[in-house]
Amino acid sequence: MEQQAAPAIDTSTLRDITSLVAKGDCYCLNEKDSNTHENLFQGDDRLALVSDADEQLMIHVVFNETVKVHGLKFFGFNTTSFDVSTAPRLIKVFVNRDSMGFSDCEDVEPTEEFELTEAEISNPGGIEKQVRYVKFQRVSSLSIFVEENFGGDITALGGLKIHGVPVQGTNMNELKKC
Amino acid sequence: MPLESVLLLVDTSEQTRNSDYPPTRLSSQVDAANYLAQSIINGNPESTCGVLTMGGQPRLLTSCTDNLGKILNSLSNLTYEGKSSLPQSISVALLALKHRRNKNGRQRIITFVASDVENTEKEITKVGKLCKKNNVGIDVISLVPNSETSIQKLCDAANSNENSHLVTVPLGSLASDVLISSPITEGSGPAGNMGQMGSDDPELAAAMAASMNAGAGPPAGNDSGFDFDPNMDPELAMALRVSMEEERRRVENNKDETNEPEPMPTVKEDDDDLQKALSMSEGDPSMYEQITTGVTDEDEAMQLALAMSMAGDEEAIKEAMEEMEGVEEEEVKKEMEEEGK
Repeated sequence: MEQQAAPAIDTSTLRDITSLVAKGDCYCLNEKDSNTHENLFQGDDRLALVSDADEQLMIHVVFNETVKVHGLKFFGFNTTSFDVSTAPRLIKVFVNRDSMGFSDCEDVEPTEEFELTEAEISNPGGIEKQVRYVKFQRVSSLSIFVEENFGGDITALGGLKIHGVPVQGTNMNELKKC
Repeated sequence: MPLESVLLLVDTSEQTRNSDYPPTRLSSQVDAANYLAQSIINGNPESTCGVLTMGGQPRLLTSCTDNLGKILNSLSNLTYEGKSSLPQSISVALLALKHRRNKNGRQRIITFVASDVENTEKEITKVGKLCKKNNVGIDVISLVPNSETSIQKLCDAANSNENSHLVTVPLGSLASDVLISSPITEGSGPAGNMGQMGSDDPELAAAMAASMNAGAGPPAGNDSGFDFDPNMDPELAMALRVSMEEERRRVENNKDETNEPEPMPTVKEDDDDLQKALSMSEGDPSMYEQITTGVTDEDEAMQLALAMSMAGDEEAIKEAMEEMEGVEEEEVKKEMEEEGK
Protein backbone atom coordinates (compact mmCIF):
# COMPACT_ATOMS: atom_id res chain seq x y z
CA MET A 1 0.00 0.00 0.00
CA GLU A 2 1.35 3.29 -0.99
CA GLN A 3 2.24 5.53 1.92
CA GLN A 4 0.62 8.88 1.53
CA ALA A 5 2.97 11.76 2.11
CA ALA A 6 1.86 14.31 4.65
CA PRO A 7 0.40 17.28 2.79
CA ALA A 8 3.01 19.96 2.53
CA ILE A 9 2.25 23.11 4.45
CA ASP A 10 1.55 25.97 2.16
CA THR A 11 4.00 28.35 3.78
CA SER A 12 3.11 31.13 1.38
CA THR A 13 -0.13 31.80 3.25
CA LEU A 14 1.58 31.95 6.62
CA ARG A 15 1.78 35.39 8.06
CA ASP A 16 2.13 37.30 11.27
CA ILE A 17 -1.19 36.83 13.03
CA THR A 18 -0.34 39.04 15.99
CA SER A 19 -2.95 41.48 14.68
CA LEU A 20 -5.64 38.87 15.34
CA VAL A 21 -4.91 38.90 19.06
CA ALA A 22 -7.85 40.15 21.14
CA LYS A 23 -5.78 42.37 23.39
CA GLY A 24 -8.56 43.07 25.85
CA ASP A 25 -9.00 39.40 26.72
CA CYS A 26 -5.33 38.63 27.18
CA TYR A 27 -3.82 38.55 30.61
CA CYS A 28 -0.49 37.80 32.16
CA LEU A 29 0.13 36.49 35.65
CA ASN A 30 3.09 37.67 37.70
CA GLU A 31 3.70 40.64 35.46
CA LYS A 32 5.10 43.86 36.82
CA ASP A 33 2.66 46.74 36.80
CA SER A 34 5.04 49.04 34.98
CA ASN A 35 6.00 46.43 32.36
CA THR A 36 2.88 44.60 31.30
CA HIS A 37 2.18 42.07 28.57
CA GLU A 38 0.98 44.87 26.30
CA ASN A 39 4.65 45.66 25.73
CA LEU A 40 5.05 42.30 23.99
CA PHE A 41 3.14 43.38 20.93
CA GLN A 42 4.67 46.84 20.59
CA GLY A 43 7.39 45.59 18.24
CA ASP A 44 10.18 47.23 20.21
CA ASP A 45 12.48 45.01 22.22
CA ARG A 46 13.35 47.87 24.55
CA LEU A 47 9.84 47.61 25.92
CA ALA A 48 9.59 44.39 27.83
CA LEU A 49 7.26 42.22 29.81
CA VAL A 50 8.92 41.81 33.20
CA SER A 51 8.03 39.35 35.94
CA ASP A 52 7.34 40.53 39.46
CA ALA A 53 7.45 38.09 42.37
CA ASP A 54 9.72 35.47 40.83
CA GLU A 55 11.00 34.40 37.43
CA GLN A 56 7.87 32.67 36.18
CA LEU A 57 5.38 34.19 33.76
CA MET A 58 2.03 33.04 32.46
CA ILE A 59 1.02 34.84 29.29
CA HIS A 60 -2.48 34.12 28.06
CA VAL A 61 -3.09 35.15 24.46
CA VAL A 62 -6.62 35.12 23.05
CA PHE A 63 -7.42 35.39 19.33
CA ASN A 64 -10.35 37.14 17.71
CA GLU A 65 -10.98 34.10 15.54
CA THR A 66 -9.78 30.55 15.35
CA VAL A 67 -6.28 30.31 13.92
CA LYS A 68 -3.69 27.73 12.93
CA VAL A 69 -0.41 28.49 14.62
CA HIS A 70 2.80 27.59 12.85
CA GLY A 71 5.46 29.23 14.92
CA LEU A 72 6.23 31.52 17.82
CA LYS A 73 8.94 34.12 17.70
CA PHE A 74 10.51 35.33 20.94
CA PHE A 75 12.60 38.46 21.32
CA GLY A 76 15.06 39.02 24.13
CA PHE A 77 14.83 42.21 26.14
CA ASN A 78 17.11 45.00 24.97
CA THR A 79 19.45 42.89 22.87
CA THR A 80 21.92 45.74 22.39
CA SER A 81 22.94 45.59 26.05
CA PHE A 82 21.66 42.16 26.80
CA ASP A 83 21.44 40.61 30.25
CA VAL A 84 21.11 36.93 29.54
CA SER A 85 20.28 35.92 33.10
CA THR A 86 16.81 37.45 32.78
CA ALA A 87 16.05 35.81 29.43
CA PRO A 88 13.46 33.03 29.35
CA ARG A 89 14.83 29.54 28.99
CA LEU A 90 12.13 26.93 29.47
CA ILE A 91 8.82 27.70 27.79
CA LYS A 92 5.68 25.60 27.80
CA VAL A 93 2.72 26.27 25.56
CA PHE A 94 -0.85 25.17 26.26
CA VAL A 95 -3.60 25.41 23.67
CA ASN A 96 -7.23 26.41 24.30
CA ARG A 97 -7.16 26.37 28.08
CA ASP A 98 -9.17 28.96 29.89
CA SER A 99 -8.07 30.54 33.13
CA MET A 100 -4.71 28.84 33.28
CA GLY A 101 -2.81 29.53 36.47
CA PHE A 102 0.60 28.51 37.70
CA SER A 103 -0.79 25.60 39.67
CA ASP A 104 -2.47 24.15 36.56
CA CYS A 105 0.82 23.89 34.70
CA GLU A 106 1.90 20.96 36.85
CA ASP A 107 -1.31 19.05 36.27
CA VAL A 108 -1.69 19.52 32.54
CA GLU A 109 0.57 18.13 29.83
CA PRO A 110 1.90 21.02 27.73
CA THR A 111 1.06 21.00 24.05
CA GLU A 112 4.53 22.19 23.17
CA GLU A 113 7.74 22.72 25.07
CA PHE A 114 10.75 24.82 24.05
CA GLU A 115 14.15 25.21 25.55
CA LEU A 116 15.97 28.29 24.33
CA THR A 117 19.73 28.67 24.32
CA GLU A 118 21.62 31.82 25.22
CA ALA A 119 22.70 32.29 21.61
CA GLU A 120 19.15 31.99 20.33
CA ILE A 121 17.52 34.45 22.68
CA SER A 122 20.29 37.04 22.41
CA ASN A 123 19.73 37.28 18.64
CA PRO A 124 18.42 40.82 17.97
CA GLY A 125 16.14 39.47 15.23
CA GLY A 126 14.39 37.14 17.67
CA ILE A 127 14.22 33.38 17.64
CA GLU A 128 11.43 31.64 15.79
CA LYS A 129 10.35 28.32 17.21
CA GLN A 130 8.12 26.14 15.09
CA VAL A 131 5.36 24.23 16.79
CA ARG A 132 3.94 20.85 15.88
CA TYR A 133 1.50 22.19 13.32
CA VAL A 134 -0.98 19.34 13.73
CA LYS A 135 -1.55 20.20 17.35
CA PHE A 136 -2.19 23.86 16.61
CA GLN A 137 -4.96 23.57 14.01
CA ARG A 138 -7.81 25.17 15.91
CA VAL A 139 -6.36 27.62 18.31
CA SER A 140 -8.52 30.19 20.01
CA SER A 141 -6.16 30.86 22.88
CA LEU A 142 -2.55 30.17 23.78
CA SER A 143 -1.17 30.01 27.29
CA ILE A 144 2.56 30.56 27.24
CA PHE A 145 4.20 29.58 30.49
CA VAL A 146 7.76 30.74 31.06
CA GLU A 147 8.94 28.29 33.66
CA GLU A 148 12.62 29.10 34.02
CA ASN A 149 15.15 31.68 32.97
CA PHE A 150 18.93 31.73 32.92
CA GLY A 151 19.26 32.26 36.66
CA GLY A 152 18.06 35.83 37.20
CA ASP A 153 15.56 36.87 39.88
CA ILE A 154 13.11 38.11 37.30
CA THR A 155 12.41 37.36 33.66
CA ALA A 156 12.22 39.93 30.89
CA LEU A 157 10.78 39.21 27.47
CA GLY A 158 11.19 41.83 24.77
CA GLY A 159 8.56 40.75 22.31
CA LEU A 160 6.39 38.00 20.91
CA LYS A 161 5.19 37.33 17.40
CA ILE A 162 2.84 34.59 16.34
CA HIS A 163 2.96 33.15 12.83
CA GLY A 164 0.12 31.21 11.35
CA VAL A 165 -3.01 31.51 9.33
CA PRO A 166 -6.60 32.18 10.30
CA VAL A 167 -9.02 29.31 9.87
CA GLN A 168 -11.47 30.50 7.26
CA GLY A 169 -14.48 31.40 9.28
CA THR A 170 -16.33 34.35 10.52
CA ASN A 171 -14.60 37.00 12.50
CA MET A 172 -17.35 38.00 14.88
CA ASN A 173 -15.74 41.38 15.42
CA GLU A 174 -16.18 42.30 11.77
CA LEU A 175 -19.87 41.48 11.89
CA LYS A 176 -21.74 44.76 11.66
CA LYS A 177 -24.99 45.43 13.39
CA CYS A 178 -27.93 45.93 11.05
CA MET B 1 -13.04 53.26 40.98
CA PRO B 2 -11.47 50.65 38.79
CA LEU B 3 -13.15 47.51 37.63
CA GLU B 4 -12.30 44.72 40.04
CA SER B 5 -13.24 41.31 41.36
CA VAL B 6 -13.17 41.16 45.12
CA LEU B 7 -13.54 38.33 47.56
CA LEU B 8 -14.51 39.17 51.14
CA LEU B 9 -13.17 36.78 53.76
CA VAL B 10 -15.17 36.87 56.97
CA ASP B 11 -13.70 35.35 60.10
CA THR B 12 -16.42 33.22 61.70
CA SER B 13 -14.31 31.32 64.21
CA GLU B 14 -15.49 30.86 67.80
CA GLN B 15 -13.20 33.65 68.94
CA THR B 16 -15.31 36.18 67.10
CA ARG B 17 -17.95 35.89 69.85
CA ASN B 18 -15.72 38.31 71.72
CA SER B 19 -17.56 41.57 72.23
CA ASP B 20 -14.57 43.88 72.59
CA TYR B 21 -15.57 45.30 69.22
CA PRO B 22 -19.23 46.21 69.60
CA PRO B 23 -21.58 44.42 69.32
CA THR B 24 -19.40 41.38 68.68
CA ARG B 25 -16.37 40.89 66.48
CA LEU B 26 -18.46 38.93 63.98
CA SER B 27 -21.28 41.47 63.80
CA SER B 28 -18.77 44.25 63.40
CA GLN B 29 -17.24 42.35 60.47
CA VAL B 30 -20.61 41.75 58.87
CA ASP B 31 -21.43 45.43 59.14
CA ALA B 32 -18.13 46.39 57.54
CA ALA B 33 -18.52 43.70 54.85
CA ASN B 34 -21.95 45.07 53.96
CA TYR B 35 -20.46 48.48 53.49
CA LEU B 36 -17.54 47.16 51.46
CA ALA B 37 -19.75 45.06 49.17
CA GLN B 38 -21.97 48.04 48.57
CA SER B 39 -19.14 50.40 47.77
CA ILE B 40 -17.43 47.88 45.48
CA ILE B 41 -20.50 47.04 43.45
CA ASN B 42 -21.66 50.63 43.22
CA GLY B 43 -18.13 51.67 42.34
CA ASN B 44 -18.19 50.12 38.89
CA PRO B 45 -21.05 48.49 36.99
CA GLU B 46 -18.94 45.46 36.16
CA SER B 47 -17.25 44.97 39.53
CA THR B 48 -18.08 41.74 41.28
CA CYS B 49 -17.80 40.62 44.86
CA GLY B 50 -17.90 37.25 46.62
CA VAL B 51 -18.08 36.04 50.21
CA LEU B 52 -16.09 33.33 51.94
CA THR B 53 -16.19 32.30 55.60
CA MET B 54 -13.04 31.26 57.37
CA GLY B 55 -14.37 29.42 60.44
CA GLY B 56 -13.70 25.67 60.47
CA GLN B 57 -13.17 24.81 56.82
CA PRO B 58 -13.10 27.78 54.45
CA ARG B 59 -16.48 27.92 52.74
CA LEU B 60 -17.37 29.94 49.67
CA LEU B 61 -20.84 31.31 50.35
CA THR B 62 -21.16 33.43 47.22
CA SER B 63 -18.88 33.31 44.23
CA CYS B 64 -18.09 36.60 42.53
CA THR B 65 -21.36 38.27 41.61
CA ASP B 66 -22.70 41.75 41.00
CA ASN B 67 -25.94 40.85 42.74
CA LEU B 68 -25.79 42.79 45.98
CA GLY B 69 -28.84 41.01 47.37
CA LYS B 70 -27.11 37.66 47.12
CA ILE B 71 -24.09 38.96 48.99
CA LEU B 72 -26.09 40.61 51.76
CA ASN B 73 -28.19 37.48 52.10
CA SER B 74 -25.16 35.26 52.54
CA LEU B 75 -23.75 37.69 55.10
CA SER B 76 -26.98 37.82 57.07
CA ASN B 77 -26.91 34.41 58.71
CA LEU B 78 -23.39 33.43 59.63
CA THR B 79 -22.68 31.02 62.45
CA TYR B 80 -19.63 30.62 64.66
CA GLU B 81 -17.54 27.60 63.81
CA GLY B 82 -14.18 26.22 64.91
CA LYS B 83 -10.94 28.00 64.24
CA SER B 84 -9.87 29.93 61.18
CA SER B 85 -6.75 29.39 59.12
CA LEU B 86 -5.62 32.45 57.22
CA PRO B 87 -3.32 30.80 54.62
CA GLN B 88 -5.83 28.06 53.87
CA SER B 89 -8.66 30.54 53.41
CA ILE B 90 -6.61 32.75 51.14
CA SER B 91 -5.68 29.76 48.97
CA VAL B 92 -9.36 28.93 48.56
CA ALA B 93 -10.09 32.57 47.81
CA LEU B 94 -7.40 32.57 45.11
CA LEU B 95 -9.01 29.56 43.51
CA ALA B 96 -12.41 31.23 43.59
CA LEU B 97 -10.96 34.39 42.07
CA LYS B 98 -9.24 32.42 39.34
CA HIS B 99 -12.54 31.10 38.08
CA ARG B 100 -14.26 34.46 38.10
CA ARG B 101 -16.50 35.30 35.20
CA ASN B 102 -15.13 38.64 34.15
CA LYS B 103 -11.41 38.28 33.51
CA ASN B 104 -10.89 41.99 33.04
CA GLY B 105 -9.97 44.24 35.89
CA ARG B 106 -7.86 43.62 38.92
CA GLN B 107 -8.36 41.03 41.62
CA ARG B 108 -8.48 41.70 45.31
CA ILE B 109 -8.95 39.76 48.51
CA ILE B 110 -10.25 41.66 51.50
CA THR B 111 -9.83 39.57 54.59
CA PHE B 112 -10.90 40.18 58.16
CA VAL B 113 -8.72 38.85 60.92
CA ALA B 114 -10.72 38.63 64.13
CA SER B 115 -9.03 35.72 65.87
CA ASP B 116 -5.45 34.95 66.81
CA VAL B 117 -3.24 34.02 63.88
CA GLU B 118 -1.68 30.69 64.78
CA ASN B 119 0.26 30.11 61.57
CA THR B 120 3.98 30.59 61.31
CA GLU B 121 5.30 33.64 59.53
CA LYS B 122 6.74 31.40 56.84
CA GLU B 123 3.33 30.03 55.93
CA ILE B 124 1.86 33.51 55.84
CA THR B 125 4.64 34.96 53.69
CA LYS B 126 4.32 32.04 51.32
CA VAL B 127 0.65 32.64 50.69
CA GLY B 128 1.35 36.35 50.34
CA LYS B 129 3.86 35.65 47.61
CA LEU B 130 1.37 33.37 45.91
CA CYS B 131 -1.07 36.27 45.79
CA LYS B 132 1.55 38.57 44.34
CA LYS B 133 2.37 36.03 41.67
CA ASN B 134 -1.27 35.78 40.69
CA ASN B 135 -1.66 39.58 40.56
CA VAL B 136 -4.01 39.56 43.53
CA GLY B 137 -3.93 42.38 46.07
CA ILE B 138 -4.64 41.65 49.73
CA ASP B 139 -6.29 44.08 52.10
CA VAL B 140 -6.40 42.99 55.71
CA ILE B 141 -8.74 44.44 58.30
CA SER B 142 -7.52 43.45 61.73
CA LEU B 143 -9.89 43.25 64.68
CA VAL B 144 -7.28 41.77 66.96
CA PRO B 145 -5.23 44.11 69.11
CA ASN B 146 -1.45 43.50 68.96
CA SER B 147 -1.36 41.16 66.00
CA GLU B 148 0.06 43.52 63.42
CA THR B 149 3.46 41.92 62.90
CA SER B 150 2.41 38.66 61.31
CA ILE B 151 -0.35 40.28 59.26
CA GLN B 152 1.96 43.04 58.12
CA LYS B 153 4.23 40.29 56.76
CA LEU B 154 1.32 39.04 54.66
CA CYS B 155 0.66 42.48 53.22
CA ASP B 156 4.33 43.14 52.56
CA ALA B 157 4.74 39.83 50.74
CA ALA B 158 1.68 40.42 48.58
CA ASN B 159 2.22 44.11 47.99
CA SER B 160 2.96 45.16 44.46
CA ASN B 161 2.46 48.75 43.45
CA GLU B 162 0.62 49.64 46.69
CA ASN B 163 -2.24 47.22 46.12
CA SER B 164 -2.18 45.67 49.60
CA HIS B 165 -3.07 47.41 52.81
CA LEU B 166 -3.44 46.65 56.50
CA VAL B 167 -6.06 48.46 58.50
CA THR B 168 -6.19 47.91 62.25
CA VAL B 169 -9.47 48.81 63.86
CA PRO B 170 -8.91 50.48 67.24
CA LEU B 171 -10.44 48.65 70.18
CA GLY B 172 -14.05 49.55 70.78
CA SER B 173 -14.68 51.34 67.51
CA LEU B 174 -16.83 50.23 64.63
CA ALA B 175 -14.97 48.58 61.75
CA SER B 176 -17.14 50.19 59.08
CA ASP B 177 -16.42 53.66 60.46
CA VAL B 178 -12.70 53.05 60.27
CA LEU B 179 -12.95 51.72 56.72
CA ILE B 180 -14.58 54.82 55.30
CA SER B 181 -11.39 56.81 55.55
CA SER B 182 -9.03 53.89 54.90
CA PRO B 183 -7.05 53.22 51.71
CA ILE B 184 -9.17 50.10 51.18
CA THR B 185 -12.14 52.15 50.07
CA GLU B 186 -10.23 55.24 49.05
CA GLY B 187 -11.63 56.76 45.91
CA SER B 188 -14.34 54.14 45.93
CA GLY B 189 -17.83 54.17 47.31
CA PRO B 190 -20.77 55.90 45.74
CA ALA B 191 -19.59 59.37 46.65
CA GLY B 192 -16.06 58.89 45.37
CA ASN B 193 -17.47 57.63 42.14
CA MET B 194 -19.64 60.69 41.83
CA GLY B 195 -16.57 62.82 42.08
CA GLN B 196 -15.08 60.87 39.23
CA MET B 197 -18.14 61.24 37.07
CA GLY B 198 -18.20 64.95 37.63
CA SER B 199 -14.57 65.39 36.75
CA ASP B 200 -15.48 66.91 33.41
CA ASP B 201 -17.43 69.53 35.32
CA PRO B 202 -14.96 71.12 37.72
CA GLU B 203 -17.54 73.18 39.59
CA LEU B 204 -19.73 70.17 40.27
CA ALA B 205 -16.72 68.14 41.34
CA ALA B 206 -15.55 70.89 43.67
CA ALA B 207 -18.99 71.27 45.18
CA MET B 208 -19.19 67.53 45.74
CA ALA B 209 -15.77 67.42 47.33
CA ALA B 210 -16.68 70.33 49.58
CA SER B 211 -19.95 68.80 50.65
CA MET B 212 -18.23 65.47 51.27
CA ASN B 213 -15.63 67.11 53.48
CA ALA B 214 -18.29 68.93 55.42
CA GLY B 215 -20.40 65.86 55.93
CA ALA B 216 -17.54 63.47 56.67
CA GLY B 217 -18.98 60.87 58.94
CA PRO B 218 -21.59 58.30 58.06
CA PRO B 219 -21.19 56.12 54.96
CA ALA B 220 -21.43 58.18 51.86
CA GLY B 221 -24.14 55.98 50.42
CA ASN B 222 -26.55 56.52 53.27
CA ASP B 223 -25.63 59.86 54.72
CA SER B 224 -28.50 61.67 53.13
CA GLY B 225 -30.89 59.60 55.19
CA PHE B 226 -33.32 59.56 52.30
CA ASP B 227 -34.53 56.53 50.49
CA PHE B 228 -32.83 57.01 47.21
CA ASP B 229 -29.58 56.10 45.53
CA PRO B 230 -27.31 59.14 45.20
CA ASN B 231 -25.80 57.53 42.10
CA MET B 232 -29.07 57.75 40.27
CA ASP B 233 -29.38 61.49 40.59
CA PRO B 234 -26.16 63.11 41.75
CA GLU B 235 -27.51 66.62 41.38
CA LEU B 236 -30.47 65.94 43.64
CA ALA B 237 -28.12 64.30 46.11
CA MET B 238 -25.95 67.38 46.04
CA ALA B 239 -28.88 69.72 46.53
CA LEU B 240 -30.04 67.68 49.51
CA ARG B 241 -26.57 67.70 50.96
CA VAL B 242 -26.20 71.42 50.58
CA SER B 243 -29.52 72.14 52.26
CA MET B 244 -28.75 69.71 55.07
CA GLU B 245 -25.40 71.34 55.49
CA GLU B 246 -27.01 74.77 55.75
CA GLU B 247 -29.47 73.51 58.33
CA ARG B 248 -26.66 71.95 60.31
CA ARG B 249 -24.70 75.18 60.23
CA ARG B 250 -27.73 77.15 61.39
CA VAL B 251 -28.27 74.83 64.35
CA GLU B 252 -24.62 75.03 65.25
CA ASN B 253 -24.65 78.80 65.10
CA ASN B 254 -27.56 78.90 67.50
CA LYS B 255 -25.68 76.65 69.87
CA ASP B 256 -22.61 78.82 69.63
CA GLU B 257 -24.58 81.85 70.70
CA THR B 258 -25.70 80.17 73.88
CA ASN B 259 -22.31 78.81 74.85
CA GLU B 260 -19.79 81.44 73.84
CA PRO B 261 -19.61 85.18 73.89
CA GLU B 262 -20.68 86.64 70.58
CA PRO B 263 -17.90 87.24 68.15
CA MET B 264 -17.26 90.97 68.05
CA PRO B 265 -19.03 92.32 65.03
CA THR B 266 -17.21 94.84 62.90
CA VAL B 267 -19.00 98.07 63.57
CA LYS B 268 -19.28 101.01 61.31
CA GLU B 269 -17.85 104.09 62.92
CA ASP B 270 -20.96 106.19 62.58
CA ASP B 271 -22.94 103.90 64.87
CA ASP B 272 -21.89 105.53 68.12
CA ASP B 273 -24.42 103.98 70.44
CA LEU B 274 -23.59 100.49 69.45
CA GLN B 275 -19.88 101.13 69.75
CA LYS B 276 -20.32 102.48 73.20
CA ALA B 277 -22.28 99.47 74.21
CA LEU B 278 -19.68 97.20 72.76
CA SER B 279 -16.79 98.90 74.47
CA MET B 280 -18.65 98.67 77.75
CA SER B 281 -19.34 95.02 77.38
CA GLU B 282 -15.80 94.41 76.25
CA GLY B 283 -14.50 96.00 79.40
CA ASP B 284 -16.38 93.54 81.52
CA PRO B 285 -15.91 90.01 80.26
CA SER B 286 -16.79 88.50 83.61
CA MET B 287 -20.34 89.57 83.02
CA TYR B 288 -20.74 86.90 80.37
CA GLU B 289 -19.35 84.28 82.67
CA GLN B 290 -21.80 85.23 85.32
CA ILE B 291 -24.60 85.02 82.89
CA THR B 292 -23.61 81.70 81.48
CA THR B 293 -22.88 80.10 84.83
CA GLY B 294 -26.10 81.35 86.26
CA VAL B 295 -28.09 79.81 83.50
CA THR B 296 -29.11 76.24 83.92
CA ASP B 297 -31.80 75.83 81.36
CA GLU B 298 -31.01 75.88 77.66
CA ASP B 299 -34.21 77.68 76.78
CA GLU B 300 -33.41 80.48 79.18
CA ALA B 301 -29.94 80.75 77.74
CA MET B 302 -31.42 80.94 74.30
CA GLN B 303 -33.79 83.72 75.29
CA LEU B 304 -30.96 85.60 76.87
CA ALA B 305 -28.76 85.21 73.83
CA LEU B 306 -31.53 86.39 71.56
CA ALA B 307 -32.18 89.43 73.66
CA MET B 308 -28.48 90.20 73.72
CA SER B 309 -28.08 89.92 70.01
CA MET B 310 -31.17 92.02 69.37
CA ALA B 311 -30.38 94.95 71.58
CA GLY B 312 -26.66 94.67 72.07
CA ASP B 313 -26.57 97.07 74.98
CA GLU B 314 -26.62 96.59 78.70
CA GLU B 315 -30.16 97.69 79.28
CA ALA B 316 -31.44 94.83 77.20
CA ILE B 317 -29.22 92.38 78.98
CA LYS B 318 -30.50 93.53 82.30
CA GLU B 319 -34.05 93.24 81.14
CA ALA B 320 -33.45 89.76 79.84
CA MET B 321 -31.88 88.81 83.10
CA GLU B 322 -34.70 90.15 85.11
CA GLU B 323 -37.07 87.97 83.20
CA MET B 324 -35.18 84.94 84.32
CA GLU B 325 -35.55 83.29 87.64
CA GLY B 326 -32.78 82.98 90.15
CA VAL B 327 -30.53 85.58 88.61
CA GLU B 328 -31.00 88.29 91.21
CA GLU B 329 -27.82 87.33 92.96
CA GLU B 330 -25.77 87.72 89.83
CA GLU B 331 -27.34 91.05 89.16
CA VAL B 332 -26.35 92.29 92.56
CA LYS B 333 -22.84 91.07 92.04
CA LYS B 334 -22.66 92.79 88.69
CA GLU B 335 -23.88 96.07 90.10
CA MET B 336 -21.32 95.84 92.83
CA GLU B 337 -18.60 95.32 90.29
CA GLU B 338 -19.70 98.29 88.26
CA GLU B 339 -19.67 100.42 91.37
CA GLY B 340 -16.18 99.18 92.07
CA LYS B 341 -15.09 100.51 88.73
